[in-house]
Amino acid sequence: MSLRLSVNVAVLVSAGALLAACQSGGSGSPAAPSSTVRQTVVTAPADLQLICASEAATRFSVASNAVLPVSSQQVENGQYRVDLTVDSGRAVCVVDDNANIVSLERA
Amino acid sequence: MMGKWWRSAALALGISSLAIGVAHATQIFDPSTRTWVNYNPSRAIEYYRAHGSVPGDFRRQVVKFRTAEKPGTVIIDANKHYLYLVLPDFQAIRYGIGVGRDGFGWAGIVRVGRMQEWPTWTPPAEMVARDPKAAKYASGMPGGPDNPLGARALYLYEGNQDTIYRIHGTTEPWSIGLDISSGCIRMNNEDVVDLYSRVEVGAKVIVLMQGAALYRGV
Repeated sequence: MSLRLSVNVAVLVSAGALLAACQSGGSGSPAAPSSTVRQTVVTAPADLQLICASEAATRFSVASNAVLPVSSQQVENGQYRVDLTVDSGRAVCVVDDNANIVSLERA
Repeated sequence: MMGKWWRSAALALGISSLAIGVAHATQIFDPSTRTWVNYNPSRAIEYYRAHGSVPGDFRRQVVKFRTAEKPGTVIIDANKHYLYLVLPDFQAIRYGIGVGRDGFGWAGIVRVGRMQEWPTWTPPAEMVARDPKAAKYASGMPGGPDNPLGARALYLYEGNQDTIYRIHGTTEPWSIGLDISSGCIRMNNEDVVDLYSRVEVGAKVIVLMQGAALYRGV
């Protein structure tokens, strides 16, 4: 008898826990983000900016120290525009999340 | 020293984020209200008191980093408050940093000119002129736990000239993640000791900061 009671209590507790978990997941509140920090302006990751700089140095035959990313922004999902100074001029690069150069032109 | 650098080129190119009315700000997720809130000095102090550390994103960690720059290169993403030390195999150590406040940020390519344990802090003349606390140490404050440069300093040079900027430790560990300095890159003391042990004099340092005054040339 006491064993049956214990089993019943265990089933009720489990069901309650499951219900609470479901309610927690479906309450409509935004889920906690994986990162606890964000920027109000989305810039390109530093490595992607430098991939653009490296490609510009190669393509325009200038020293790598003469190219610097100075501005960047997300242009669409998974793609970033990176503005570069190249010697005394400018160039615009578009790079994707997989580090592929989509375009690179002198501005 | 400042006059030697190519100032305001970024503004001349019309790429200042301020010019287009978009201001960079760092925000943290507040789990109690489930909203993003601006991360400013008072909130940073509050966070540090409550958790005994800065937010997780600003703690030292190894991350993927696809670059052609050679291992040992230091790359600073000032907007995101990260310093990367390039490792082999497309990895980097990422550290949280504090950077220059409004008007004191900069971008460019420099190098580590020299390094110092428990450095003496000598405020530059401009700082002495505008800050009475700095004026007290016009002739230099000896290294030690109360010294604002913290446990280690990496002196940044442009060619053979000291830029007056450093990567250094701090007595204010809560300030990592903020735009708070006079242009130096600050790290908590444990992190700057770690970086110091891995970097060599001559290492290339690339500073990225959107809309900041631009300095170039090694």
